[in-house]
Amino acid sequence: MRSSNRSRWAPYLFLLPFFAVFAVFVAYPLGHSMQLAFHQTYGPTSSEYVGLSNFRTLLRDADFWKAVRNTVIFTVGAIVTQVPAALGLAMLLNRPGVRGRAFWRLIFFAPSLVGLAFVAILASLVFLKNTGLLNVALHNLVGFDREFPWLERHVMAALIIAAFWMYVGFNMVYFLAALQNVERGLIEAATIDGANAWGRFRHVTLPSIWPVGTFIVLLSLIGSFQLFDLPYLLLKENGKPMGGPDNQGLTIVMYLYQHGFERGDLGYASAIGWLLALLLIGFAVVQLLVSRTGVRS
Amino acid sequence: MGGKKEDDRSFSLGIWVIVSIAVVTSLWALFWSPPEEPGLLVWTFTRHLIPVYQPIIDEQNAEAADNPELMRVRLDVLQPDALVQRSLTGFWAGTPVADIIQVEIKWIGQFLTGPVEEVGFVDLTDIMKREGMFDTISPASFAPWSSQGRVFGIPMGSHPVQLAYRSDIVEEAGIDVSQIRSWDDFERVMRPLVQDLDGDGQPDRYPINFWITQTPSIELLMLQAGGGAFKRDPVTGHDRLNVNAGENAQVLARVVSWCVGPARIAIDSPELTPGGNQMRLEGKVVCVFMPDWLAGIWRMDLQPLSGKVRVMPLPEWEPGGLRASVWGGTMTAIPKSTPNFEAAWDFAKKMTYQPEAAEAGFREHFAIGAISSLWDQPFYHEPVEYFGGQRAGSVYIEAARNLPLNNSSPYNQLAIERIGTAALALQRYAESNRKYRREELVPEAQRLLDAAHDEVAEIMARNVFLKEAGAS
Repeated sequence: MRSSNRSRWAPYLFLLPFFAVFAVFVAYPLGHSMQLAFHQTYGPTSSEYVGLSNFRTLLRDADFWKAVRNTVIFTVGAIVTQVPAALGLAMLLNRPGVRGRAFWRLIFFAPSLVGLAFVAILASLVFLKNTGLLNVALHNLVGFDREFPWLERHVMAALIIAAFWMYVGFNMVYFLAALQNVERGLIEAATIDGANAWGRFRHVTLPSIWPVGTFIVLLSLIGSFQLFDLPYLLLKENGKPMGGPDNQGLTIVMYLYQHGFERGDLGYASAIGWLLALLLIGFAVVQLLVSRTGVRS
Repeated sequence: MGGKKEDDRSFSLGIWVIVSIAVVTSLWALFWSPPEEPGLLVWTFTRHLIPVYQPIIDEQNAEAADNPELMRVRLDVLQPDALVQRSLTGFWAGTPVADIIQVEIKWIGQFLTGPVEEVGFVDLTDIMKREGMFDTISPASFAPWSSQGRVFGIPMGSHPVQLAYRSDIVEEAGIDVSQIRSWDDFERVMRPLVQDLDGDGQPDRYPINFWITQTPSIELLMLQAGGGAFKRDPVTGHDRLNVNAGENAQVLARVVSWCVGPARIAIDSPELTPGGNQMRLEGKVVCVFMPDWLAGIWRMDLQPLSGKVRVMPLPEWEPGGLRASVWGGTMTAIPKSTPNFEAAWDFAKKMTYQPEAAEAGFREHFAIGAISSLWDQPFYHEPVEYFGGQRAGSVYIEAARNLPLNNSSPYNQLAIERIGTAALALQRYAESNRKYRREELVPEAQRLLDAAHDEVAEIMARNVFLKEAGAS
């Protein structure tokens, strides 16, 4: 009888730690943030009910939409540059004839071992005008304008380049793993059937690595939408907007941070958070549909 | 069989070790409290201030050894972001904070945005009045640390700005800086210094370190010209939004004309950066806006320029106008949570009032203290080797006596950011329309500032806490 009782409660006891952690660190904050989204606050102590005002303001908040636009530009720029480059590198380094493959793999993967803070600091030195590494090098090589204002007028380009340097090797490793799982027999059969290199890639390799590709795109999408530390550290400067001149590098999460933790308005920050969540859910659904279509085709 | 079944259900030794460690460390974390060190704790944001305060701390600690009524003092230097976040977290969530906290001007808005009764620092207005502090410190110095007429910190300096120039370059070019009285004079007299030093066909030396993205410089020029992001309303005593003032449009138009077009005279050489310092050492910059604290930093970081730098008053915007401005600021404040208010107040006053602290601040950092009664002390008026024997302290003291009034709005930083955005837009307008002369740019500057003004006003209007308090 005692043994039977123990068996009945055991599953619940095993699940309890998960539910306790989930309730405290996920469910309660989610519920509380929904409640906060209808308040204006100054820190957690001062709070005023404002109804839908936060959402109404947000929908016509030029800075918020600038942050959305910047985030989308970064996301598209990052995916469009990183994914093909990572695939290309992976295919190159997957060829058996390449000498020092392990070395090159390490070289390309190494930047992702460096923290984002270091990348931001390095990028701030690289993209400086007059004395920045990039402008000085290009000036000496091809007479490029030493005063080219990367961090003034081309902030998103600078961010996409910095992120490319950091993440392309990381994505390459995923593609390498996927490429090593492509059945050799299929490629050999296609070669015997007369398929050229592009045909083998298009009809054998690409379908085989498609699930990994969509996974990388989804990861990049979510990571890009949560972009914070790189622009925050790269652009933060006394007297300037958090997103750099004219907020050209402001992202959604930076805007959320600015309101929640610099201005103390956790209510407005919560409203931003919920809109971000809706956007991410929407993108994830679209991505899921696209990936299913890809697998079917 | 039954015994075997029981064995299957039991956990392995490893699981028990992990569970034990988890339980023990959880209990330890639950019941552990950080050791409390007796005495006053002071937080500041830069190690450069250690030599200024350490002698006073040592003196107090030596006295405290004999006098049990005096409290010992410790000084912790926190990175500025960490100082702000830890202070705000302490105010909002009750985590421990220091007994005395120094806050730099760019962060103060975050502390004063909420209802005035929710500000985490003690309202010092009444005690300052009682002790006559408003008579010994310039009113301009209090403004940034006030909200709705209440003062929350003791200003630590007056932060006057003058124009520093490379005397060696200017003399070599045969330029007489005494001819410069207005900004028009400055542009005319200094323009010949635009030079191509490396022979690549592009100028790389310019008369002034300024760029459209250097918003603190735009702010100091606007204050000097009689504008600024906010202005004290003489009737209500509140600071009202002033972004679209005509003076601001004039400043914006002039500074954009410095940066674009064939008559360009400015170069971007950011202060406190290795790249900017390299440009200064190479002589690519002739003049800079030099607040007192920056003079101290130059003396440390740009030692090779010793003897080659002089200071002069800022050129005026109109005849008889101000020839000084203000940039930066630090306050010493006391959190409401301190159990030792009296001791903290006494020590905070020592940090400000003690002549030894003022002298150490000047000698170490060239900082002009906030206490005007000390400005006649001889140490401020000695020749300074870095400035080629010029009595640079006297120049700064003279400037400190005539500073424009800074403002106390928690939205100042936001307004300055919007002004910076307008400046950038004006620069683009000038380039795309090939309009480079100041007079041509004023109408567009005014239009952009009007838009920036409306944006800031709308954001301010959302703040229900300040609206309830009747702040403008």
